[in-house]
Amino acid sequence: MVMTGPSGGGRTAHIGRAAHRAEDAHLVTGHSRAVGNLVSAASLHLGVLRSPMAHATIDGVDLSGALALPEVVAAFSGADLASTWVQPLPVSGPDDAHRPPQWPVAADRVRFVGEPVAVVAATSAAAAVDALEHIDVDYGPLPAVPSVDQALEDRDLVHEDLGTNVVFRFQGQRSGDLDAAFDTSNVVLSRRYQQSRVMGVALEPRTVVAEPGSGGQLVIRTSTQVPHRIRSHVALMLGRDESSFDVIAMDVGGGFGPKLDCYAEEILCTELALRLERPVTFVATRTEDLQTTSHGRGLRYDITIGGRTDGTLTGLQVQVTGDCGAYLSRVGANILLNGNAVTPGCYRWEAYGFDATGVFTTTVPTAAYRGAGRPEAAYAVERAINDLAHALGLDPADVRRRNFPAPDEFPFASIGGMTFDSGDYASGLDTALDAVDYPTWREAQAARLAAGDHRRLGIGMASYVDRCGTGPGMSEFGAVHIDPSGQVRVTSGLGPTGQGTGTTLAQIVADRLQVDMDAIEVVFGDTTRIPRGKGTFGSRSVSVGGVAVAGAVDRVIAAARRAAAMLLEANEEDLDVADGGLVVRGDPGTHLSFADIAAAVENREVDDMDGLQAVHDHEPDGFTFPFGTHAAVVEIDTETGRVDLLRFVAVDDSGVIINPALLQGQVHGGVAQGIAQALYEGVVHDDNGNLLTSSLIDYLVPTAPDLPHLETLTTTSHGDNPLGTKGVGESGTIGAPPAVVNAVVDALRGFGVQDVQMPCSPQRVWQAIRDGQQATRG
Amino acid sequence: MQVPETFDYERASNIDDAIALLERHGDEARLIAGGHSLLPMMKLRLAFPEVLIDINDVPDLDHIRIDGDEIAIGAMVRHAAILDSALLAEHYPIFRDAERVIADPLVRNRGTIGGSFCQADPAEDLSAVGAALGGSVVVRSSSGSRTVPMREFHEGPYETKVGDAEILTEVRFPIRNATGSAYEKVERRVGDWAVAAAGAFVQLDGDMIADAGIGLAAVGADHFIVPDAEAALRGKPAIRESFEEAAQLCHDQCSPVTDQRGPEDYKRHLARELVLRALTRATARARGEES
Ligand SMILES: Cc1cc2nc3c(=O)[nH]c(=O)nc-3n(C[C@H](O)[C@H](O)[C@H](O)COP(=O)(O)OP(=O)(O)OC[C@H]3O[C@@H](n4cnc5c(N)ncnc54)[C@H](O)[C@@H]3O)c2cc1C
Repeated sequence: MVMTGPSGGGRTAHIGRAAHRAEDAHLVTGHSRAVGNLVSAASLHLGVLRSPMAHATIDGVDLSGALALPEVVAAFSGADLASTWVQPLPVSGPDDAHRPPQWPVAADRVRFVGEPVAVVAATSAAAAVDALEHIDVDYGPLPAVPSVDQALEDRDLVHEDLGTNVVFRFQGQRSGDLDAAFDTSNVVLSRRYQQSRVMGVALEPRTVVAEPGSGGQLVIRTSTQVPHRIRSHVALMLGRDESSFDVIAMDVGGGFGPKLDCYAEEILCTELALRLERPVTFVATRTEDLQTTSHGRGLRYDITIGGRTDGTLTGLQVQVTGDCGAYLSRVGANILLNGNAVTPGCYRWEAYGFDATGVFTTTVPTAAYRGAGRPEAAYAVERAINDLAHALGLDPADVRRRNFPAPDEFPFASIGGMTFDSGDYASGLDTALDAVDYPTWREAQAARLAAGDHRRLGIGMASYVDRCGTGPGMSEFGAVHIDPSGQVRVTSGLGPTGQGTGTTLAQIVADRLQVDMDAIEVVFGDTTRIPRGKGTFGSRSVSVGGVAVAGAVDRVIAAARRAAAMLLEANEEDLDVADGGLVVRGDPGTHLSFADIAAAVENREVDDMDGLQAVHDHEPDGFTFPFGTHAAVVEIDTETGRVDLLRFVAVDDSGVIINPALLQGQVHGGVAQGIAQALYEGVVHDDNGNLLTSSLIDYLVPTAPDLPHLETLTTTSHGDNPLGTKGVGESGTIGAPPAVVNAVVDALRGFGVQDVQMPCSPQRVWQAIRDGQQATRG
Repeated sequence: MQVPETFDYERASNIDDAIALLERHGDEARLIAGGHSLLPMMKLRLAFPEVLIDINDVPDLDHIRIDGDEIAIGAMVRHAAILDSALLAEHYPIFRDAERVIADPLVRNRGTIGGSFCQADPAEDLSAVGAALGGSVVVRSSSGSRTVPMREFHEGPYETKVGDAEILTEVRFPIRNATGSAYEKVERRVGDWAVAAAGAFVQLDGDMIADAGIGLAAVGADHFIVPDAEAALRGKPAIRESFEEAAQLCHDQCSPVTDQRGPEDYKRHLARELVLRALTRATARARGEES
């Protein structure tokens, strides 16, 4: 029995401390368990021949050249594999949505550049690449439909049998009387806000190794946010039992949403490993990753907004049109539909209406990307409020402030149909404007204008309320086990991709058990060791996964209490948690560590207990609603069009903060991605549907020197769950784009500029100035 | 995996060895210096040399020194060394201006001036710098060294005066008094290739422009230059109107193409604006008003 003497001293709380990430040591010392590091020499390598055309019939595939190569073990066309698939990938969306099947390898028609056409398994990665050059495919070119506008014409069809490129038309909210609201407005504006299409460029591209394991199980190591979903999808598509597969995802190098989907290569490596009875590896090149990993955003918001001279917001009517890509992805429709509840944002409105239309194009399917519909909505409404304020001659900050619900109105029923848990939206706005020193910048802006300086200043802001955890039905698994050595093992169904979730969960557990963080091991991403899990997305890790683990710890403590009461012949109610164990209140000599209790339980000294452990599935009964305001100051060189971001202040209220350093990391990363969308990144297709941004030379992911010092502040309200947390993973991508673009437009109003489309590259800014000047001149 | 096609690899121990290897392997062989232009093209399977001849071990190619009335820069001098060179900063701050905006530290630690010149990418910044300053390029073959005037070195996009079994060994710039130089670039992201860029060199005689050079990158200027613009500056007062006239000539005479980096009219506009700025700053430096 290990004895841990009572220290008697008070302990520092772990929650609220900027604990160092337990995840880093092995990552920075070359011991990362990223999939690509775990490839055995015996593994075969999957090479995927991809369509060079956006739209074509496949009239013939000749594999003989590849099969003749000594390094090639097998090669298959889509037709060869067609009978293998029991069903296509599962998708969701409105009932009447078209769900044309997407197969891992196209058999008769390709619908986007990069769609798999044939595969080889070769003895090395280089041999696999070489072999692809020996496969001949006959394509019958069909017209590409690379844009939403072309798709809506319904002239060239992505799926001929459907007779239309429209995936679905969704009629959403109708709240209040829109006509009356607009009739009683002083200004009504109709504007289009186009979301650029972007990609979630993870450091680690998609990577899979499928390997026959012991006991007939196939082990699938993959870079994913959702190991359990991958297991279920692979099993469904191959018509096998889930128990035939163990999916393992560890040290995933970034997810950002696109790794929520099950991809062709996950299925293909699995199928080929089963057929060939050898490990099969796929590591996407950067170009393959950019071409074939789901893209995000790309929604078009047509908004009509009304307001009165006193700044009151009246009506908001929204039509969203979204590019779903060539096939409806698992969550493709939801990205659009999410707007239904969240577009009204953090404001009071008199009337609201929402409709959405999804369309097929001959491009890679779109899916979730950090925020998944909420950034799109916030961008549109925050831009619209600025435009409305400008039309009304009001300060955009005042219009926001006037329409926020007051702190004492919470819980607040939004016109979008949600009930916001808690908040003080005005304080977030005020904190941001104070931090950025709003009045001083407004003065500087006017001075520059008066002096005729070609470097104009612009100040932008965006207020948001996020919706996190993703609500009822989205439960998460947590378990805690303490062994006789005092080692605490926490298992969670989350699928972290670099957030430091393990450290965060350990802090929650350490606090409750009053043990050191070192005593805690947190395990994720292994479908054999963890019975169920939903994964990491929707800023849900702590508010759902953390609450599940906290619940499991509480159950462990309850069990330990029962055991200790028996061992100490004391009343359960008289036992307190102290210094990593339990003690009879007022009698320090009675201290039993959790290790002692675990040992006693394992030695069967306590009846009816099978190890010191507990499981807790937490099902949230609602969402959490983080909120905040982001503010940006830009300087624009109006001759070159270059935008220089001088200041960026993010004020976020994410509820109770477990680890402020990790929270700041999430805000920094999210804001960086948000600024990236506003100023740098954007997917470009040519008229033939070729992806022009298929390398990082042309897809402009910014790096540190492109970004300003990011100033992050927090306010703290209490989330509606036992930990009081709300979520922070996506606030940066929600707040930053409208704050930055509002600043850009603010700087250029004098030139008659109303809009600059993201990314606000020097060229676009210059063009906007020129167009604005021409329009003003008449 | 982004892998090139199969190739052979040789490592040259000195300049003659490199030339001998080039002669032995013929026109399917390529020298590799920093590899930051060649390797990406090979990995994207846009270039398929059968033999790579590595010149990273070749001695005597990494100097930056005064040689008579010229500054001589060895072919294997890395971007990072150019950026750090006090000698270049003293005589020609245009190098520091340009190197600050060429790629990123990783690329600058490997990429060389010789590779930049020989790659002859129309957007190559050092080629524009060279064009602005004038000077010469030293090229060697088994029959000896020859000197090519800087402004004749580039024959067109990706084409230079370097023949199959030849190696660029040195780039030379004349040292001149009362001069200033500067480089201005617009890029889409820090470290990106230029949307447009302009380098300027100005030599003053009192308030007058004694001589001037302008180098343009990424805007389709032949040999990276617009001779009429330079001629228009010589003997003129060093004032804004003179610079504007030259800048307008650059705007009119360059021939940019629309691509991912921007449309033709925008690049033309930038050529004018950046030439104006570069001339203004170069002149301020010639007057000692700016460092
Ligand atoms: C991400 C990235 C960003 C970049 N951004 C910029 C930028 O903003 N501005 C810019 O100007 N450049 C940029 N570059 C290019 C960079 O400057 C390269 O290093 C340079 O163009 C080539 O130098 P190198 O030594 O790497 O040449 P290599 O790639 O080794 O060679 C290039 C060519 O020159 C030939 N060669 C090399 N040395 C000699 C020699 N001594 N004699 C004869 N032939 C020779 C080779 O055979 C080859 O054909 C960028 C490169 C990368 C990868």
